[in-house]
Amino acid sequence: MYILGISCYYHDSAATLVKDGKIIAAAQEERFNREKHSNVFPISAINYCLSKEGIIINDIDQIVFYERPFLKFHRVLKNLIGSFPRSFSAFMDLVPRYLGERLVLPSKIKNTLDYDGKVLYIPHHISHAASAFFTSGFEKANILTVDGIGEYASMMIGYGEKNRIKGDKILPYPGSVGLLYSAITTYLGFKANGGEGKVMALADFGEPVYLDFLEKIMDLKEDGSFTCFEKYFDFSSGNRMFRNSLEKEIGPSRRPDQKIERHHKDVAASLQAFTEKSVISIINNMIKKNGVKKLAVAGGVFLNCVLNRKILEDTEVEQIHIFPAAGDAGGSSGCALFAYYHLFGGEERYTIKTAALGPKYLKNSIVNLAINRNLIIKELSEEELIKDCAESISLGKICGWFQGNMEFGPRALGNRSILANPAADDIKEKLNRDVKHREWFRPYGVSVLDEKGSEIFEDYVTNSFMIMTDTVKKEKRKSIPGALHVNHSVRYQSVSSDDGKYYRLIKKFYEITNIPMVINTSFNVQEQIVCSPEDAFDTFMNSNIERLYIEDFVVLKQEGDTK
Amino acid sequence: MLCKRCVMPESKPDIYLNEQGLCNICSAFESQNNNRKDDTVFHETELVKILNKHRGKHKYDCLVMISGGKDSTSSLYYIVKKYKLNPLAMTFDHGFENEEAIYNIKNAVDSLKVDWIFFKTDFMKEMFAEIIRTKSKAVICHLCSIWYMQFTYETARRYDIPIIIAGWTKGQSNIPDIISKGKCDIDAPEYQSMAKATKKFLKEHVRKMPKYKDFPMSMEEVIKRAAKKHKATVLSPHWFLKTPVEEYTRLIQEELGWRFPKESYPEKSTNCLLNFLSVLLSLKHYGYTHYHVEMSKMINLNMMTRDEALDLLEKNWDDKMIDDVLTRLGLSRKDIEDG
Ligand SMILES: [Fe+2]
Ligand SMILES: [Zn+2]
Repeated sequence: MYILGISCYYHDSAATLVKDGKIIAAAQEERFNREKHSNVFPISAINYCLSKEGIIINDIDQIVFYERPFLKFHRVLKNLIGSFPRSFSAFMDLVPRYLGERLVLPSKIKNTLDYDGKVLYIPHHISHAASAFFTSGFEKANILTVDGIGEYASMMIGYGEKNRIKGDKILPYPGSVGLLYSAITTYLGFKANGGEGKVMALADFGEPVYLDFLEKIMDLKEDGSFTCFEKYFDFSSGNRMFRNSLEKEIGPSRRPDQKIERHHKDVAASLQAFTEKSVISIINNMIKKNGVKKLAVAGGVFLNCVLNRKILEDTEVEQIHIFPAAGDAGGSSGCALFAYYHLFGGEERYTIKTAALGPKYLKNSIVNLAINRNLIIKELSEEELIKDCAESISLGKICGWFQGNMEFGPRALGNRSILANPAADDIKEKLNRDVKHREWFRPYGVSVLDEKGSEIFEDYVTNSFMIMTDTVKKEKRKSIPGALHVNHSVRYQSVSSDDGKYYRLIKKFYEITNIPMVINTSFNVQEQIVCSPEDAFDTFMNSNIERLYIEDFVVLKQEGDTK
Repeated sequence: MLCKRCVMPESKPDIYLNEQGLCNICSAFESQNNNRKDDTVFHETELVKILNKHRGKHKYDCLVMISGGKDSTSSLYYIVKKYKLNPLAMTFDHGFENEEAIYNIKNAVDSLKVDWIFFKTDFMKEMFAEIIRTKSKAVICHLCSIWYMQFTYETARRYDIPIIIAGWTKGQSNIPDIISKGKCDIDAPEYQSMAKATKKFLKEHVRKMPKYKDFPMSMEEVIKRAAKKHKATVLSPHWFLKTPVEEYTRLIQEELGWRFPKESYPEKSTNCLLNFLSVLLSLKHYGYTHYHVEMSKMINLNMMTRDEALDLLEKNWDDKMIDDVLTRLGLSRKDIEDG
């Protein structure tokens, strides 16, 4: 049975194909139309999903649509069960009826895809929750979904068991982590919906001196809920989401062109601390209630790697599963999975093993393209390729690594990556300045051999989707200056033998350097991550990436380029 | 002088190289490419939409022209297996069809269990012979395509079939043109002289042969005539699919027992015996053939490399084939020699 999940008209359009309860293809539209955070109808992603299975739209049993929050969901819910906030544990029982009443056929889907079946709408947070729980493999778990970008419906607390999930409680506006994060992002002179990651990175450089103040003005409660009072915030504007009264209390905001001062770092650190405190309180409360110590999470906030580490440290959570496409693109997976279990009675559960769910490209298309563009390209055996790449990295070269299926979600995990040597002192500056053109304070993640993780990190846990940081052991810090963040932490991805070629590459690098990790950043220069060989060649040729390892080939910038 | 990027030789006035050594086909591609992104790509869902529009409304959903080559055989395969349509397959034989191609077609229609019309005629033979006798530079394949497209439209009308499926690749014809106007792009700059010669031949010689008094004077006329009587959309699945040729060739080899012919031009294609003569004459008159144009476009679409194309286009067939064809046309070698 095939279910097609669609996310669009909000942030990050995407499509997911679920076959018998498993995600078999998923991709964001931005990768195809090369428009960052594209929210158009994901026609290319849908075509990719279908072609991966060699099927056509007529073979799809169900199309499911992931709803944008608030506008529709809240309105419907309000009509359904009254005003907010309130518990709605009865919600799930209402779902079949809710769906039954809204079997609409949106003209876009009908016209674009010529699909004449029914389209189901799944609420936003239910979709996030389903993406987290139904890929976790957990028999039972608490579920928490928190939107990352300025959204009104901020979070949902839920619970999953076997093939069922339920949403217990929704914390809507005015207490939204996503909204608060976006507001402070604009206060710090970055753009909302994109700049949040920069604030997160900046936070590590400051002290949370405004934490008490934030708690007070937002009335942070024991259960983690809070209120973004209109006295301090203005959510009608996208550029300046705060009021003068906030500046009066914590000082002037930063203009985009202004230098980053100590004060800005402290505000960022305070925001991060506030977020952690709120989310941790919520989780502690969940565990207190039912004693379940497994946690499945999704929503953009859980792309915050520092927060995720804190959850493991400061709560009783024993195991946390974070859906790799935690943001809104992943909603397309969640709504399809929800439909599979809740509407079609699917029973067998699975654990997501890889985020490599996007397109891959055949050798021929790479050769043709390279030759037609007069690039210097050499075919190597896997052994030669790995050796060549590992040696290049060890010599401080910055290497493009394009292998197999593109990743789903915002992280490059060794399929569309730029790799570099963490032992090199100047590598971070080189990457920031010459390749990625990013702010000086933004750190890089690493890919570490899973079996070596505990030798490097203080509290190592396997983390395949790069959604967590950890502190590097004191004696190891000197060996990886290029990857070390200011607080001695590193965002990392665990790479095991299941990861094939990428694992063997890092292993080779380890043999050469005695360092079991490489710096791994997404294969892009400010634009969206590359998808096709064409994109990869474009980015490679127009950047200071020194070598490109694409499938079985090494591409050089000039003939006779030696290590 | 060959184009630096593709396989086109300089052949004025139709094919000329610019200062960078690129031919006009390649430079047209280059300027087009700058503003081509995903929204102009033909998605498979677009194809499915057209197919679904007509699905199940007639005795046959579509008419598939099958020559036994990899492109048309895989088209038939997709139509049946992937798009689950009920087609009528159709093959024309002007008397020069290749046994191996017919074997491939028989195999395919048998294992896919589709109805099949095989139409064999000597009708065109005199016209082909006349080209040679009059030393015309008309292209045999152009005349043949006018004839079989007319016949295809007539068959579609005869059986009330709404879609005509061909096996054309992205290099063979221009997609929007075909979908909107249902025509091959013999009007393209690279075919100007060929088209002119074909037109001249039709006017000066074919018109005067009583047997061909009804023969259309151009592809436009074929389409105009057809449109008056019956509406049919002409398309090829390959325009919409990203599947590379190696992959669909493997598919039909495994699923339909399809085989490459022993000898063909270009290599790895399947064409009739007359094709060898058509190619020989095209090369002689123009320095290139329509296969060169097709491959130039495929190189620009990154579907093959220049070296691959040059390999495939290398002329290494047995001249005995030409003699055989000439004999069957009632001619001999000296008829195609100069003087
Ligand atoms: Fe969301
Ligand atoms: Zn050319």
